[in-house]
Amino acid sequence: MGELSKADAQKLLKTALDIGEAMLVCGGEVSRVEDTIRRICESYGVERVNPFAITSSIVITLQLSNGESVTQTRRISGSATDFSKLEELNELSRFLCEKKPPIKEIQDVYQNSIQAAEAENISKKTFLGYLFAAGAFAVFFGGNFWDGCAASLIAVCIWILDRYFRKIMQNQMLYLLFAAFIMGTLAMIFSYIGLPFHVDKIMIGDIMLLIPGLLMTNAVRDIFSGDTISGMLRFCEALLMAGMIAAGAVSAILLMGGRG
Amino acid sequence: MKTEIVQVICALLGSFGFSLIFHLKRDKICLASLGGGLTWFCYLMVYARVESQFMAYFWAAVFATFYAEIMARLKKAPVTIFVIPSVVPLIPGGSLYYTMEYLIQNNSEMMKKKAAETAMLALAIAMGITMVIMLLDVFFLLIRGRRMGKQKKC
Repeated sequence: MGELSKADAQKLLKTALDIGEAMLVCGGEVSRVEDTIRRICESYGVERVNPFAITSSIVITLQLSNGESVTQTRRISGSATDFSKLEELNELSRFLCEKKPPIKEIQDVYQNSIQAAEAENISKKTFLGYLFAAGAFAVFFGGNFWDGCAASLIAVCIWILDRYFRKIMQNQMLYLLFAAFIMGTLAMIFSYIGLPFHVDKIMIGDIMLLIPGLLMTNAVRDIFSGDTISGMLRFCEALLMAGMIAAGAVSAILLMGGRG
Repeated sequence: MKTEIVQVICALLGSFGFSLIFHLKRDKICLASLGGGLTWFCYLMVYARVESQFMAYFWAAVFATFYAEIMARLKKAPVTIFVIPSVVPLIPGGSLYYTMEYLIQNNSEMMKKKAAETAMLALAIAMGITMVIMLLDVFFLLIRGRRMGKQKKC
C-alpha cells in the first residue's frame, strides 16, 4: 500500500463516516462503530486513526504517514433499527479490510451494498412483527386469548402511527407521548365493550412495543465497554422515553375514567 | 405447568415479532426467536429452584447473552442482532405498568414496591449481560495473549 495523498484520505474518511453513521442509525453499539472505522482506515495504511463516536455525532481525525492530518465530523440524527442493514455493513467493512478496493471505488462499493440492503420492502415484515409481539406479550404477562387479539389490533394502530406519523413529528419524545396516549385510549375503549378483556394485560403487551429495550440494552453494553458518555446519553434517553410512555398511558386512563 | 408452557411459547412468539420489527435476516430469525423462548425457559427453571426473581432474571440474562455470543460467532454476525431478541422477554414491561397503575390509584406503598421491583429487575438484567461480556473479554484476551506468546517464541 503506497502513501495516501490528502485527497484520497478525504475520500476514505467520507466513506468511513458514511458506514459509521449508517451503523449507528441501524442500532449498532458505539464501540463497534469506532472499531469498524479504525479497522477500515488502518487497512488503507493510515498511520494513526482517532475515531470518536457518541450517539449523536462522529469525529474522525486521520494522521497520515507524511505528517498531514485530516478531520471530518458528522452529526447523526434519528434512528431506524434495521439489523439486516447492520449485518450488511459489518460484512462490507470486513470486505473493505480484506480486499482493499482502490479508494476511487470505495464510495461506489458502499452505495451498492446499501442499496441492496434497502431494496427490500420491510413494511410488511414490521407489520407482522407488531402483531406477533404485542399479542404474544399480552398473553405472556397473563392475559387470555382475547387480550392478545385486542393488543394485536392496537398494535396495528401503533404501526400506522410509526409508519406515517413519526416522520411528521420531529420530536421523538412527543411522538412517544402521543403514541402511548392513543394506545391507552384504545385499550380503555376495549374495556367498555363488554368482552372479558383485561385492560392491564392489553396495555402491557402494547407497552412492550414502545419500550426502548434496545436502547437500554445498548446503553448497558456501551457503559461497560468503556463508552461512558454514549452509555449515559442512551440511558437518559431511555429513561425519558419510559417516562413519556407512562405519562401518555396515565393521561389516557385518567381521561377515559379508568380505575382512578 | 400449563401457564409455564404458554409463557415459553409466547416468549418465543414475542421474540419472533421483535426479530421481524428489527428486520433480522431470514436465516437468523429462527435462532433469535428460539433464544427468547429458551431465555424464559431458563428463567422458569432458575425461579423454580431459588424462588428469587432477582436471581432468576440475572441467570436468564446471563444465558441470553451467552447464547447470543455463541450464535454471533457461529453465524459471523454482530452480537447485538441476537442479544436484543433474546433479552426481550425479560424486559420488565409488566412491573413498569403496575408502577404506573398504582400511581394513578394513589397507592403509594404498592407503587414504591413496584418501582423498586422494576429497577431491581433492570439491574439484574444489566448485571447478567455485563458479567458475560466481561468474562468473554478476559477469556479472549487470554487466548490472544497465549497465541502472541507462541508466535514470539518461534
